[in-house]
Amino acid sequence: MWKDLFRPGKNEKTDMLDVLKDNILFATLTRRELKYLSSLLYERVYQQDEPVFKQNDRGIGMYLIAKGRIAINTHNPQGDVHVTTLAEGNFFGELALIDPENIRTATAIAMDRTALIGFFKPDLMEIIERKPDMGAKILFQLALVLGRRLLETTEKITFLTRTKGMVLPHDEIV
Amino acid sequence: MTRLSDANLRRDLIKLFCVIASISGIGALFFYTPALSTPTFLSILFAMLFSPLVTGLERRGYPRTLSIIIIFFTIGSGAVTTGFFALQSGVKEWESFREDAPKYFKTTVTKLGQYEAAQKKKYPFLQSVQPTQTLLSWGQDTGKWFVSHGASIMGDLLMCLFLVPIITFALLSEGVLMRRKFFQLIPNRMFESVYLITMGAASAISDYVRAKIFEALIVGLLAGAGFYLIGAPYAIVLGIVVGVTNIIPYIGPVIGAVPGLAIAALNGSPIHIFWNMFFIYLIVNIIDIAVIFPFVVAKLVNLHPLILIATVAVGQQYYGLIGMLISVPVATAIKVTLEEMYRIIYEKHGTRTSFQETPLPRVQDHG
Repeated sequence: MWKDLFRPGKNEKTDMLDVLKDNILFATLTRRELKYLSSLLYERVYQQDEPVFKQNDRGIGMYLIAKGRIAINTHNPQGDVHVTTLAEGNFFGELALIDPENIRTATAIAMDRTALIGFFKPDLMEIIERKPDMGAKILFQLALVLGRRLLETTEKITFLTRTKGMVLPHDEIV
Repeated sequence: MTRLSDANLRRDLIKLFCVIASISGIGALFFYTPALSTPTFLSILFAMLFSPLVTGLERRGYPRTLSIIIIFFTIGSGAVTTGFFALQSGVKEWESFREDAPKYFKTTVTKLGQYEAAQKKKYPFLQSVQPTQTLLSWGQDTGKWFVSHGASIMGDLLMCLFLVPIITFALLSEGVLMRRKFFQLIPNRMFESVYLITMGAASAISDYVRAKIFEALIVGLLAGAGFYLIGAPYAIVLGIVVGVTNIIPYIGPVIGAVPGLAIAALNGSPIHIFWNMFFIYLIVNIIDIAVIFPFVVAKLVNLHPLILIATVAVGQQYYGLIGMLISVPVATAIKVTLEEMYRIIYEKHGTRTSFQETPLPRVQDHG
């Protein structure tokens, strides 16, 4: 247990630069920028079934999965619903980077012993302040990701509406 | 599952114990070692002050270490140049003040003694009150304290001059690494909350310190220039005193005015100098209250005036002048911490009104 207390064990140690460069948010950063970014990020190790955050918690940033798997669940009056399972290379919680009053919309739980890399809003603000070019690159990629998610959601709603013969509350969804 | 939760809880409790023990140990070390705590405290202030300048250079593409070196070199050479030329008169004033201080003290004691004798003759029930004797004893004790502690004060000063630049440099260049190391100690279950609270409090303190130092600089410059224009004695030294004491909320301006008015009253200057100095104190404080404080500081410290005064009093009670100076930033940090804790605990299960009111469907992200 002692080896787990303050730093990842040998199995969890990751080359953070490799994880970062493979992520769409940081794909446009140079090696030097990635190195600087890695100096701001936080490596955390979670045990199996340990929650990373819970639904309705205040959110401060996103997590990249360096090793392991994360279950995303939501809780509603009908019970718990498993939304998706995220694996190495995926990331979650990115809305908290730009939303000032972010409340987590789902619970994230480690399915295995999982190594995460945390990237939080104050760190993004620090990058924007200290290295605006780099901040712009990250924000652009973040906008790209959110735009894609919005498109996917719109398509899903349209599909559901057509298949179930529902009428949309608005004529037009962005 | 239960066994796993128990193991996680045990691990988190051990981590938490280590964090509390580390923080308490460092706190105790600083509390019982003023030779270390004073330079560290000053270095933190300097680091907060220089941080935006370093960031400004970094934004222009300079590496962080080079940016810090440039700032140190510029400020260091600027201080030496200013010290060599502009502060010559300030040093002369200080020397003169040091020589004249016993004379002022003697005059004060004589005048107070005469007044006391006259009052006691008029009101015999005042016989038991001994203000002149008390002042004399205080003066003698203070003099003895300076004689006996002179060498150690000089030693502390030299230690500060040696340590402050080194610690400030380390804080500016390694601050992010130190922050990461600290957060590494925090258990997972409270990591996000501690991160949120710590960043909020640190931001509130550094904003307040920068605003207050800016305010002190403006007030000190205005007062010094005013004293110089009216030909008041020790204009530069008194301007610095006004600036430094202005950092203490509410009572600082009063403390800052006492030495100047006392000197004007006791050194035999014409009476109009006393009144001119009084009006300068008044005008500078009106400018501060009406213009500088509302636009620079008040936005950052949203504390009730009564709480501010109580905070300063508590600071003075336990840590003297340093306590008065750091009491407000500490109170600000406590306020931000409590606000964040309130939001985390009580608004945790709240729903978001902004999205409820938005007609568009919510974008579903993963968490």
